[in-house]
Amino acid sequence: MKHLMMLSWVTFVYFASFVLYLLRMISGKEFWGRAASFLAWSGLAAQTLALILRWKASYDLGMGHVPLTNLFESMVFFAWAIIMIYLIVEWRTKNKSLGVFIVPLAFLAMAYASISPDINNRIEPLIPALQSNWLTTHVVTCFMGYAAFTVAFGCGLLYLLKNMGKDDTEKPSGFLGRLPSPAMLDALIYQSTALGFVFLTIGIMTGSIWAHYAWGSYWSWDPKETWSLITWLIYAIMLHARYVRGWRGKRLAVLAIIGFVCVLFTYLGVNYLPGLHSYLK
Amino acid sequence: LVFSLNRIDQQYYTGLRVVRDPGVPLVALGAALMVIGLVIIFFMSYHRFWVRMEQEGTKIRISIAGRSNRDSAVLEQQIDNLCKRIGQELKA
Repeated sequence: MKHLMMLSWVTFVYFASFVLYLLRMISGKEFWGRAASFLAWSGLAAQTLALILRWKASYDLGMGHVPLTNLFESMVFFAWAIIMIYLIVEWRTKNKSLGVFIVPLAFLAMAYASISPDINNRIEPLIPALQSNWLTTHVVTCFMGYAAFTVAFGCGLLYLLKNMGKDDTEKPSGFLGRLPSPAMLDALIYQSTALGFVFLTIGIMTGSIWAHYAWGSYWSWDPKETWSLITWLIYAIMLHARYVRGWRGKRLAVLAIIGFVCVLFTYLGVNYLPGLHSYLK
Repeated sequence: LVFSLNRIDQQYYTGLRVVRDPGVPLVALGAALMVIGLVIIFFMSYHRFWVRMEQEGTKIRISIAGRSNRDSAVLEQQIDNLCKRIGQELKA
């Protein structure tokens, strides 16, 4: 399986990219930042290619389905979406310091997908419940949402870190000084959360329409549905708190972190509960 | 008294549930409206700017103000960018 080989290389490329972002952070030399971005972009390109190869391989095996159908494939797609959204943010804000916090999350997702013994990386035939055109839309929108929330989480962590450093010294030291300004982090948390919220909403909607056709009802209070609703409500509270109560900065950063914990539980935690969404075994 | 099992048959059955929902187009319409609404709310906020130039003797004072229905952090950033660009233009 050539694409599996490629994916394990991509894992190392993301790790190397993280190390270079870290070097840039410590040394302050822009050269490392450029090298790190280059590695992240080439990792993304290689991963895209690997996903396309896996897609093609499933057709060659006579099954023919998108590579979004089990835990391994969803993890790989999750990492892909994180890097994709991160690189767009980096390109738009021209600030490379977020990479230290977000690229390792993509690396962890890739590493977990390839190392964990419970995760099966073979291409298998699609079970009947998943044979639908809704599959691609539903999974892609949900995971783009998760990835945007991951970026918001990274920014939230960074915000808290930056806030912590401010109390000790008047002028932030070299490391913290190079982080983006609190105002910018706040804007990034808000923007990525809004993006993720729109994606998650579309994901839940397509999911419930699909459920209507596949299971006969829009909403059956399956654990994954319940937890996605909880996640949705938390981000809705966060966005409302910002608009209506004018919450900024630290409180939003904390909510972004709480929201991300819910995202993780929606994605991975509910697999330990019995339910209809049991494809991720 | 002796009980004996003479014959055992296996029967197959399938449970089917049929749902007819004439409201599907309405639900789809509602979903589409909600997505359009979200996109309008989150990605299309209006921004309005005022630029005022005052002559104070030989100097000119330029003040910039802005208003947005939401998302004032982005507004601040845009005003900063505007200030920077005006500064660069004036130097050139």
